Formats: sequence, C-alpha cells, structure tokens
Amino acid sequence: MQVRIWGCRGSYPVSGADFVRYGGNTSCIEVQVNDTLIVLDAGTGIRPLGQALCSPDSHIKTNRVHVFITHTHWDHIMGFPFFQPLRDIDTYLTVYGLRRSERPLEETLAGSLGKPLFPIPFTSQPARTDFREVDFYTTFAIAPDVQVTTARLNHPYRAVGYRISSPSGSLAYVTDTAPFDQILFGDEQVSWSREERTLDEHSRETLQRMHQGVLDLMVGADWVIYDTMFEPEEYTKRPHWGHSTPDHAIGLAAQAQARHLILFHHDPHRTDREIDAIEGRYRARAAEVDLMLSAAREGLTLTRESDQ
Amino acid sequence: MRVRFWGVRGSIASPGPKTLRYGGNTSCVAVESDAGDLIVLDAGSGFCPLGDALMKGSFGKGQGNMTLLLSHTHLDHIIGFPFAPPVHIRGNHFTIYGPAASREGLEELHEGLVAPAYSPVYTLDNIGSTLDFRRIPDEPFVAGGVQITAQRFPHGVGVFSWGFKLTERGRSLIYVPDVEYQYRHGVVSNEPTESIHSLDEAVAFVRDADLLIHDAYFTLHDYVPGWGHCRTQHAVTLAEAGNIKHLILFHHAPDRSDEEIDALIADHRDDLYHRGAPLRLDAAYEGMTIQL
Repeated sequence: MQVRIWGCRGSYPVSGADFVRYGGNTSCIEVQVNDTLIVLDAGTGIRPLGQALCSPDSHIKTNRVHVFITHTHWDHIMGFPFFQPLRDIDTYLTVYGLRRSERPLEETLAGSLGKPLFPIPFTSQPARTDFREVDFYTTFAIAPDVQVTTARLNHPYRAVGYRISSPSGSLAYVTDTAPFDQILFGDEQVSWSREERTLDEHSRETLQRMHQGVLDLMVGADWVIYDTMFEPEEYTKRPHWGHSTPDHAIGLAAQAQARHLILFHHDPHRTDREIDAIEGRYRARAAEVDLMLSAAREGLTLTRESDQ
Repeated sequence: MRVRFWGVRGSIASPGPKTLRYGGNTSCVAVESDAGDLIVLDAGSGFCPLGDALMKGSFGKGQGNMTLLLSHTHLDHIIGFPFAPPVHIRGNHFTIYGPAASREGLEELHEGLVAPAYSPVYTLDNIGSTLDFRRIPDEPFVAGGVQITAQRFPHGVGVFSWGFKLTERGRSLIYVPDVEYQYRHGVVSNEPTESIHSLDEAVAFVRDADLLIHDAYFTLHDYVPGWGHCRTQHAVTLAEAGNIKHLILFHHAPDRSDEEIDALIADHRDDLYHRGAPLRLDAAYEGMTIQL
C-alpha cells in the first residue's frame, strides 16, 4: 500500500506564500494497493492527481478508479469535475458515499456539479461512472486483497470514516469529525450556546457507538489520517463546527495502537510556519505514547518501507 | 476608483509553487470608489482573503456595506461567499446583483450553495448579515457614486456571463471575466438575443475605458472551441479597437504557470511595441492595485 496526499486543507482552498510547503488544495488522498487505485475525497487536490494519472509517465496503469466520499461539503467534492480521467472513455469510476433516504448520492453529486454551477454535469463526461451508496459500520471488498470498512463520524449532516485494509498496509481516514463527548451532530443543525449541555441517553449511546466505530477503523492501523483543524483553544470557541484537535487524535490513535498519525484538514488560515510548530509540539507528545506523527502536506508519500 | 485583485484564476483554485506570483485563487476584484463605496466583482475563492482583510475595518464591527456584482454563477465566481467572515457578522449589508430570471431565483441559488448537503451553514437564515439579492437590471444603475452598466457576453453554448462597466468622475473600468466570441461551431439558438456575439459588437461596450479587465484563459496554442473562453489575442484586439488605455489579462487557466504568464505577457508587449501600439498591457496577480 502506498498513500499520497494531494490536498490537506480544510474548508476552502488557499493560495499564497504562507501556504507553499503544506499546500492550499482541499482534501484528496490517493491510495494504491498493487493495481487497485483508491481516491479519498474529491477536493481541489483531485485535479493535480488526475493530471498525474493521465500523464504519459503515470505511476499507475489502470483505468479503474474507486472514489470514496466522506461527505459532500464543498471542500470534499469541488474538484471532481476537473478530474482528468473523466474525459477518457476507458475510465471506469465507482463513487462511494453515504446512503441517505432523502436523496440519492448521484443526485447530490451530479445535481450540484452541473448547471448552473458548472458548465456540464460530470456524469455526462466520457468516463463510465457508477455510484455505490454505503451504510455505516459495514465491511466489503473492492479487490481480492483490499477491504473497506465504514463508520459514522460526528459532523454536521453526518460523514463517513473509512478504513482501507490490505496485506501490505492499513489506513484509517477520519475526517471531518468532532470528538465524541460534547455534541452529537446529525442531519439537523445543532444550535449551540455556551451553557453546559446535557445529552439524553440515546445521544450518549449514539456517541459511544461512533467512538467505538472510529476506534475500530484505527485499531493497529499503519496510518491514521485525522481531522485536526483546531488547536485546543480554538476548539473551545467552536465545538459546534464539527472538527477536532491533535489532542483528540493522539488520544484515539494511542488507544487504537495505530503506528503513524497524520494531522489533516488544516485550517485555511494556518501558515506553513504555524503547522511546523504544531507538528513539532505534538510530535514530542506522540512519541511519549509510542506514536509516529506528521502533519499532512501535499506530496507526502507513505509506505511501510518509507516509515522505517 | 481604486482596484485591487484578490483572485485572478479561472475554473478552479490552483494553489502551489507554480502559481505563487500570480496567485491561485479564483475570480474576485474589489473596487473602492472615490466616495468610499465598496463594489466587489465576483466572489470566487479570492473573496475569502478579501473577507479576512475587510474584518479589520467596518465589516468587523458589523457596519460594512458592499455591492457585489456576479458575472455568472459558475462555482469559481461564487464559492467564496459563504466562507468569508463578514458575511456572518450581524449588521453588515450586502447588495448582490446576479444573473437570474428573478430576484428569488438568485436567492434560491445561494440557498442551494449553503444547503446542508454542501455546507455547515444549512440555510441563508443562519447568515447574520443582511443579503439583498437583486436581478441585474437591463438599464444602467448606481451603487454609491458609481454608475454601473451591465452587458451579456457569450460564455459557451447557451450560457452567458455579464460584463460590467463602472464609471466614476469620468474614469471607467470594464470587467469581462468569461467570454468566447463568435462561437459558431455548435447550436447557438439558446443564447439570449440581448447578448452580444462578436468582438465587433463588444467594441461599442468597452470603448474609451481607462481599464479593461478581460478573460485570458486560452492562448493561440491551447484554445478549445466551445469551452466558453477566448484567446488572449482577442482581448488585445478588443482593447486596441476600443481605444482602451490599460488592458489587464485576467481569469488565467488553472495550469498557467507564473513563467508561462510572464512569457505570454512578454510576447504581447513585443508585438505591441513593434507595431507602435500605445496600449499598456499587464497580467492580473493577487495583490495588484490600480488607482484610476
């Protein structure tokens, strides 16, 4: 398994001298397991990925692409129409995302990524595109040596966490999510005030189930890519935004005995120097619990060999 | 008027080392009038850093006032709006002119932009500021001390994008971010008849302006007919025919690197110099500021 980051910015893409080393593109990760090509989220990072896949010296020779969408907030889908393999009639794309009773995944994606927001719907491009809706807490195989497990994340309108497992490596992709104690996010908007909140028993049980599900995705994983948009003091002001801190991520990764934690979904205002400082500070903390830690940056490539 | 560029890219944001000098944010140009009014042309991803900057002034206190002119509603011209902090501050006021059959249509489109499936905002009702949506009028209108004239331009088959002319104290600028002239390879019957079609027709709209900010998505070599964008040479031809003083090439293709834009500008300037043409020509970059 080889994992490569193409976009690690949260909320919206950013450009400029402050964002050169970690990059300004929004969520997109490429996972390669032998001939199986997996793409996690279709933020603006999927555009340079598509160009690399279509270049004559492409590192992978397959026209079969599995795209897993955590949720359909703009920063996770807005690059899709610019994914160059869509223009190739030989491309066969399967798009996975949450099954929702009120609206098919295809309609949510194709309906928005077409007129009047885009010149042409991406489903009318030459590539063959299938949609496969998934439920929380399921496991299925997409190739003889590749399994995918899903879990529910704590984010407005809900999001899916994925684990990709193969004999050559395992990856947990956990973004976007709040921690699992203070607020339960669902499809309805959560109104938030600074007063102490009390959760009813059902909400507490649901959060507990989510907490366990996320731990299950992460258990013994080679890599955990986790939403760490906030620093602790920022989280205190915005617990209702549905994002976590490195502290939350380290706690869970250590408990799950994962090997390497990747801080992901950087706040759009976070400069390269600030991310350097965050990485340095938390790397020391993670080492105390025998956990490798890196901040995600565009171009970061992970294999078991390179992690040694 | 004082013009500042916050996003100069077309289609999709393309941050990275290759686009560092000209910038990777999508369309957004802020115009501050001599009278102090703020008029913003399009709300692509460049609208986010503009929003951050505005928070240091009256918008941070909930006393800001902006007229936003949307050329069209492709995502690269509207995506920044829901993310910009001033939009969420109670007391701020946005008058948003956009292309739609009705005022309600424009509001509905923005409602869709922040719907739960796409945004944690959920609904426009949660946006703290006041949003006053308006259909772009066919007649000239005013925002503060600035007179605004709008004109439809063809932007691919069956699609049009508005161009705007802003005039204050005898100075004028034209903004035409997305245009493909004389597209005749496909069916054009869906184009509204009010739209201009050819470069010749565009000359009358731009004539004698001090500044022309114009689509420069394609070069002679990579032009794709039907994609709704012109070649840079079209912008130069229009500027010269219209007696424009200063042409700004804008809406660069996402993959156009800093070096490529440098070379493109050098080629056009060489050509102008050898013909003795008086036109001043530059490429838009993030942070570029022009006083008119």
